[in-house]
Amino acid sequence: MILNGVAIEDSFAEAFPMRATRLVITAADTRWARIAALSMTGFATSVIACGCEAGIERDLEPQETPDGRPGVAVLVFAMDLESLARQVQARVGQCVLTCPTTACFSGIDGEERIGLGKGLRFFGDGFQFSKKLGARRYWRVPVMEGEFVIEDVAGVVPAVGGGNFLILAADPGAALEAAEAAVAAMAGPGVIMPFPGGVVRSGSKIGSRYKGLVASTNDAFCPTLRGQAEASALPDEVGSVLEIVIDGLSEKAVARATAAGIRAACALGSGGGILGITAGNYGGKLGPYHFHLRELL
Amino acid sequence: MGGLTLTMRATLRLPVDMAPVLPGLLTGLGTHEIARLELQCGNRRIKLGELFEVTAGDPQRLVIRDTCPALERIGAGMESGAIAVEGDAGALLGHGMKGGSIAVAGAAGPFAGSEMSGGVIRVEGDAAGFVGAAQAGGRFGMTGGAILVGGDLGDRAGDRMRRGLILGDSAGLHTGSRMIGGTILVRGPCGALPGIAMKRGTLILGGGGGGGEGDAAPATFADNGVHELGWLALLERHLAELGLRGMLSSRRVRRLTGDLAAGGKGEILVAA
Repeated sequence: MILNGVAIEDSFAEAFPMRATRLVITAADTRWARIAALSMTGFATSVIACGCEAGIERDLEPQETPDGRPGVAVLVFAMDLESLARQVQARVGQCVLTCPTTACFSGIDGEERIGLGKGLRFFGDGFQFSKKLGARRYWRVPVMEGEFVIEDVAGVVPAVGGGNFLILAADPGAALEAAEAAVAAMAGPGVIMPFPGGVVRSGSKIGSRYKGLVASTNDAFCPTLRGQAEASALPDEVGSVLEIVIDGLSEKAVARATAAGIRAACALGSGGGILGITAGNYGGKLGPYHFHLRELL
Repeated sequence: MGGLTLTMRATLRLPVDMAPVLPGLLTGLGTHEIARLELQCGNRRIKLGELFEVTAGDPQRLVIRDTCPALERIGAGMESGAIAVEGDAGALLGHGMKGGSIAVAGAAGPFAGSEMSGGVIRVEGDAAGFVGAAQAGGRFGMTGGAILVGGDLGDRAGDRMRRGLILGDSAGLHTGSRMIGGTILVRGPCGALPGIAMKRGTLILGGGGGGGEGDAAPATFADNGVHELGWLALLERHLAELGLRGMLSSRRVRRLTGDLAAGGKGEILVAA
């Protein structure tokens, strides 16, 4: 398949099941909501070493938030319920509770739930105040600034992690331009691209020659190892490869984002230095979700 | 199809226990079977058909017309459906109610919504005290749901209340007495000694800018100053979901905590 002169390989991205939650962080203005969200989703690029994958889904208008203030929707993904609960509590406790003017709410309903204010309320040292309004319980935690309001629990849903595609480009400049265009086109409901700016330059393979290292550089796609790697996947004209990883609340959301990203990357065309699109998989052994690139398009 | 309608044939003096007349219990019964239901009236049992004219309709939308305060325990123990009372309701309206909704066009007797755990009660007129309260000897008052009174709440609203919401235009003595949790909002004047012996929970006074003698809290409350509290936005939204807008004049309130004679973890918020 050729899209705007760019070869779409007959390959598939292999994704795996995760658990996810959406948190709504509100603040006096969008700036402070984003500061809290960026802080909370920092160092959350990969479960390999971060414990979770997290990112900003979108900004929220005041009429979309529980307390009528500007907000930000954040998605957090982890491999299981326990690690998700642990990560959310630590990140909200250190990055949202501490951030001026913020409040934090569950932004999704799910059959499973994790504690949000349920554990963080104890910061109130006995002065915390519970308010149950309708079916939802909130905690008012007194802080030096005033009160921090946080919902008791957050909903958790089954999710899909590790969707991906790789942009094969003639040089690093073209790869970056295509990746930026792709990330901009992919943003939408139910997905995040958890890596810095949504882009990964250091795609990994499983394992390493060094004991105890669970992942190492994906030598098959390193242009400087074209002649050295045992099985380089890169043709001579490829000078740089960037990857985009996608986590989504559903298979459909990941598929939509992947297709939108590939189309945007290919819009630069072969004339713009984009030579091919492929995807990372492990022969179907890693996860049950397979996103066949050509079928998505 | 309209709602199943019961129209009172004559005003009564003896109390009638209306607890068996619930949407859930009437579902599947024909008008003749409903008319043959027995109700306790004073010290005897009489057929429902002797007291009410029964008009067929959807039992999940029960309408009781031309009512009087002798009709007690309307909607008691109700779990689903809706009851519209076109007139006054007697004591124990919605007592122990778990779900559904009751709307009273007139006034309600004492103990409206006492010990209820869910659902919504709306009273357009006044309530005669002990709204959402515990029964004598009861451990807790209401533990969930909402009681929205357009008029006066009477005395001792929310006595031993644990969760849920009570709203009234004004209130009498000892509002929120012995309260354990939940929220009471009195928009206008409130009688003396609000929150007396309250352990936890929130009593909001003067939300509509009324202000009464109760705005001076008991001496056993500590003044924490005037603050703008963010959670009141959540309360406003909850009230809006119940169809009530503009109930709070301001999110800026004086926060008084107490009753220090009962643990001191409750609060009275007086609109500032």
